[in-house]
Amino acid sequence: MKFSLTAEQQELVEKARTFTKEWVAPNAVKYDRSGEFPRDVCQEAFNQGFMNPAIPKKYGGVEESVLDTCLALEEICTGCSGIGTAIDANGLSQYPVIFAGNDYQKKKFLEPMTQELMFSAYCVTEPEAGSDVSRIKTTAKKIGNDYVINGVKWWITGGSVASWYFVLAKVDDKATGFIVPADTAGIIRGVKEQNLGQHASNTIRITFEDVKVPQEYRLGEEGDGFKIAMKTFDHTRPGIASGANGITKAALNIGLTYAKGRRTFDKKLISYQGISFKLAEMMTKLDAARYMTYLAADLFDQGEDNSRQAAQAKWYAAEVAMWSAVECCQILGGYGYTNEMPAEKLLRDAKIYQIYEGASEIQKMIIVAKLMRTREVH
Amino acid sequence: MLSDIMKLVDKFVNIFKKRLYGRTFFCPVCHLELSCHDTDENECMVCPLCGVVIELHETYGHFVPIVNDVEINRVQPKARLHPLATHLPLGLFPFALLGAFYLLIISVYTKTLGTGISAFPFASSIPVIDNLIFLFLLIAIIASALTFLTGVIDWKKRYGGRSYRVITLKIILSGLFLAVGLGTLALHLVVFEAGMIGFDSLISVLATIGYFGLFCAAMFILATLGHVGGYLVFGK
Repeated sequence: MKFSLTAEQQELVEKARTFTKEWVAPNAVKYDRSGEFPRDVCQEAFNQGFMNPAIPKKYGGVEESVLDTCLALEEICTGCSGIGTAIDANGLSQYPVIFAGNDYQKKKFLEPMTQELMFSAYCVTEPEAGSDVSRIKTTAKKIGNDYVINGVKWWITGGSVASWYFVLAKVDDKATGFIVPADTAGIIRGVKEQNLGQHASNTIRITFEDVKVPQEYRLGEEGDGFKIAMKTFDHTRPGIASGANGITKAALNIGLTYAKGRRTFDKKLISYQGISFKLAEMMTKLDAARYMTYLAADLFDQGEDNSRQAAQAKWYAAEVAMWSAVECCQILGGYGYTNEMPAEKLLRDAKIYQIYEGASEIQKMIIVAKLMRTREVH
Repeated sequence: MLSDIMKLVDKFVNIFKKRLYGRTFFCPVCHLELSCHDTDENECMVCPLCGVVIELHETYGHFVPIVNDVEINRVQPKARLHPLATHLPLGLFPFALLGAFYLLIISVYTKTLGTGISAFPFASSIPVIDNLIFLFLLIAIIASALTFLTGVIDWKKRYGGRSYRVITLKIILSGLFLAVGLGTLALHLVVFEAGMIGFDSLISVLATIGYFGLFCAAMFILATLGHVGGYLVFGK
């Protein structure tokens, strides 16, 4: 058992940290306030190799391990988790293609993404089907060699900028995955949602009205969709946990810097246990969340089942991020409540980690489901 | 169309601002945009608007301004000539420009169509308008020189002579306005004295374009100067 990073991983972390300090954090306020999509930052991320890390080498990608992706993402999300989501969101829709796509699909949809800056989006959630994916109402009707998709997908990250979508739809009540080019007739993109946080991340509603998709764009067999969608989460949840860890790290750094600099009652804020213990707890919880994340990522890289560990990491990291953001605001006092300081943004951004890619309650259900199949916990 | 123009202007302003200000942050008390280069060797600065003493820290690319003190009794020059003087050029210059455009329209119209000047409103007042333009320009330039000097006194007294990028910008723009304004005044004398206003010959075309080019540039600088000055005094 080793707890240290390899030289290559250390180099990757340093590179991501420099990118974060030069590109992500300095633009965080700008994109948070404007709500625009951070295309220039994404372009730089693409140039520096931080986008599309999972694409196999055969299709021009770098085929980075999930652990390496997590390490880089934690750094990027320390600068801004909204921009981090914009950079990382491709992975969610790419993985179904990597996991279940054939050579033709991978060549057609993944290869171009390694050549120029492009985006893709994962269309599973619907207004009436969030955590309960099986409730989706979107249908795909087979007509000749094509499928005709009808339905509404909601909270689609990167939906406005995507060149293609992974869409989960029911074919005769069997959930099936499709790749749908974004310029297909019948796709109606809604306006950007005004969310609580992560304003840099583009989230929209997409309506599919008689969208014709050729059979060769179907992923796997009819009925494989649910399995593909769930397997994707085993891959992406450690990344989500890393994003939450990034928020915790930012909260810790901001709180620590402030506590060391601010004076009250003629003493530095950090000299009071009421404040310093918060920082000590934050650091400890961050380390715990990190190791859970790294374990979940490493298990996936080893080809082992990581469902429980990924759920644990995602749930715990999200809880720690939310708690840390609240405590960071508390350390900053009134300054933690003003939008001219970076703390309040962390609070707004952290909340979504307890909700997307499976709410915290769903993560606990996954953990319990695994426990129910266990006779003894060792 | 208008939003595209605004976006383009915004882009240029941001490029310029980035070069002069570097990275910026907002005063957590009065929300004034400040440059990270405004801090002293101890990473401290006094907000020029609200007077809080800010210790600027950077962590992971995030600026964390920490307020540990405030300058309450800030020295105010007794005779506040700067704000008085600054409004003279701001008030007179636009009227001088409007008058010059009016004379240009009359000149082009009469020279092209051969119509008599009497067809225009205020025709009998044209020499007066010409003199007024000259007078407005002259007063504006003298007042802007006075604004510059009183501004320097204000900076030394009220702002303790501390280095602020926003004040540097004001000094640069003031110098620029004086130079361009004097150029406009000189060209006004030449162009109107020689009757070169209009587009009837190559020399008059060049003289008119040069004259109005300088005039508009001076107006733009003055408007920017007023905006920056107002921002420094009143904030957002």
